[in-house]
Amino acid sequence: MSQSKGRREYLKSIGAFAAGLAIGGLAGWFSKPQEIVEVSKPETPTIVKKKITWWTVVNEGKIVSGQLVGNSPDFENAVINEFTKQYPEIEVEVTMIPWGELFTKYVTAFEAGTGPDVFFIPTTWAPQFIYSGYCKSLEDFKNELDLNDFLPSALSAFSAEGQLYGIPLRVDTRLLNYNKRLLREAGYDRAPAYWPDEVLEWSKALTKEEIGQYGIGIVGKATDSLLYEFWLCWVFTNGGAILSKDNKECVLNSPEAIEALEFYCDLLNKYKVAPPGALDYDKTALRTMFIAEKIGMFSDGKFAIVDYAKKPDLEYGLDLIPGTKKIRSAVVLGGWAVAMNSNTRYPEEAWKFMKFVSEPRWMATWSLSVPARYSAASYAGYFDDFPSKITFEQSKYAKPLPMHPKTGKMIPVIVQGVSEAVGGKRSPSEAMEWITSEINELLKE
Amino acid sequence: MNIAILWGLRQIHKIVNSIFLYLIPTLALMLLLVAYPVFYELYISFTQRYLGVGYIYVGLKNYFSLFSSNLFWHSLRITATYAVGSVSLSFVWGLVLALLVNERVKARTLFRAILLLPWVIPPVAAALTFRWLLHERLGLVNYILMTLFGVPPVPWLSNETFAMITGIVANSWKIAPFGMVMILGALQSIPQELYEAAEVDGATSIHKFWYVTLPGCRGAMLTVLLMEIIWSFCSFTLLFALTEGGPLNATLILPIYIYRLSFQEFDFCLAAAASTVLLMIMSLWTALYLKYKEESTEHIGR
Repeated sequence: MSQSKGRREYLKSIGAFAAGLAIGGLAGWFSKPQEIVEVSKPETPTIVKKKITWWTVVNEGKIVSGQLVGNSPDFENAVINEFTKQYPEIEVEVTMIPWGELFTKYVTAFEAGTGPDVFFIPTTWAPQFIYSGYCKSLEDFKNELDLNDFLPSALSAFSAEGQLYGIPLRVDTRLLNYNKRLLREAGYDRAPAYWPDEVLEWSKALTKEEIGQYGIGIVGKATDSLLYEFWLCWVFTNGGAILSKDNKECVLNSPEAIEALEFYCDLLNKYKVAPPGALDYDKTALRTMFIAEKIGMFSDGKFAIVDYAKKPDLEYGLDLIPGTKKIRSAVVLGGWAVAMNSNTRYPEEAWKFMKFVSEPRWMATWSLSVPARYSAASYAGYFDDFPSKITFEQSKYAKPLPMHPKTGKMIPVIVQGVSEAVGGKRSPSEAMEWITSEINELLKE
Repeated sequence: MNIAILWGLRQIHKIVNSIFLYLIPTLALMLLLVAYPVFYELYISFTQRYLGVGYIYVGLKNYFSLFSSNLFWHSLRITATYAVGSVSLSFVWGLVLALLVNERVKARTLFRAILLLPWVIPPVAAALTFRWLLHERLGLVNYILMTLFGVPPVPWLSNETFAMITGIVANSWKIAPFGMVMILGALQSIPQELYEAAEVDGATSIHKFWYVTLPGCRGAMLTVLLMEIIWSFCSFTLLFALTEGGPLNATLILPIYIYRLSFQEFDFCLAAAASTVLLMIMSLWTALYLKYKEESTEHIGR
């Protein structure tokens, strides 16, 4: 008896478990795909025919010159509401993902053959995403756009083999961020404009090791963002490059490139004007030290001012990245575009949405960065504030990363070599020779 | 007709009675969540991905390129160092904690709860806290060392040796409470009579620890060792959030190497091959452990 009761109990529990699974499965079936931040749905249009999904990054919204700027849920809602008014037959489901999770989420989804119809993509990932087949070519659609209105460098960052894969929305660049108060105390009323002379002079004057204060922040951590640091900007301003013009060989072992990396490493290891521990520092770590007024200068984007606002007495200044007498400044182009999933079921609808969000009126309010269209500048006094002006100025000197099927494999090699040079494991020339030979091997494959 | 129904009912009864039916839910879940990913991973480790074509069978090519990569062997060495370091430290630390909280002291439950905290703190939160405490220029640890003892800033996370030590200490701190709980359970199951008998025979505290306590905890200790080695070999989150495998690959354990291969270099096939190697190592280790455990149980049984 007790045995049969036990069995009944067991069967019951299996039944309950199965029911649970069924309910869970059904709930999962009907629910939306995984979402990090869900934005409330736009007003439901009367006729809903096709639903497209739109993945974007979430960051802080901000009011600049009376406008809400940034990819905040409110902003997304405003855009989507307008869109569904214009196209009632298309429903847009937006998913906003924090920056730290964006890359993994994209790659996991695209590798599984799923992912959103339309997505927001930064320049850094463009080569990998395009050559991995995640992005649909926009050749059939692009004639509907006035491509002359876009910054050419932004377009080239999302073009491969003569085809366009994304509509650039905004351009981000690094800038020289400096502490006005520390510079004033050291006797300077402007930031250094040239390396090596001025950068070294300013850095020496700003360094007070006894109180843990250093002139300039040097990044040595081997992450992708190391590509945006001073060293590569200085390679460019010295006339160097990563790849030859035909993209067939690596030229980072040129005397110009080696000289730039040498100076970058010397600031830390020889002149000791940068805080020790660089191998563990990325841009964020330096930003913390800059806010704590422990470094006088470093390289960061305009978006850093959101953090500076938390310390009102911080007197920060922004200027062009120091260059040479030949080339005033240079910087690696950053920024974002909107792209279409190569597996989308609704390319026409996706394109309509892409075209809509790339209209100048949205671009002008899109973020803390510079719009990728010239005509966006005429909207709403976007360039009134100084940080935008200087970023726009800096973007004229911006170069995108090489667009090559092997860029994804090249980046870890470059950052590893540079990190080893900063850490003193290899001399700068040895590091550049090693990077060059490794990349040339990759290019031969 | 009736006979047919009766026969049918009997067959249903047989099925209901069989063990297999009870295993179906678990088996289905295991197949879905364990077997499928493992076999898929094995499959893509023998392929190469070509744009527009998909996965093409290439035999052992990925394994050859993996075994000829210096970084892979470096990563394997780093993983072994990290695992052995973490397990040794956390094992001793867990044993000491278990012996301490086994004593009859006031607020014993409170102590146990506090000592369990590292186990329940999410690894990313723990890693970020460590990062702040150990920041070379702004961290509390270096500040205290400098103001109290005049020690110059220690490069906890930017020097290759220190970063490994920091990783090992952080991981041990995180997993030691598991050892504490397991060993404490074993300690409390040792009959008091054994200690009394030992005392009658004139045993000192050291003798009692060596001849009564340690043999009494043997089973629990073996389990702790096995689990901690597996966790340390396969751990990713804590060390990734702490060092990202740096500086200069000094903490590039195999799981971080696999992550880099797939999510930085987009070489999912090579990453799958590396994952298979990790799976083999872990399977071998588990098999050895199970065999040893079986033998030791037989020994105890005799």
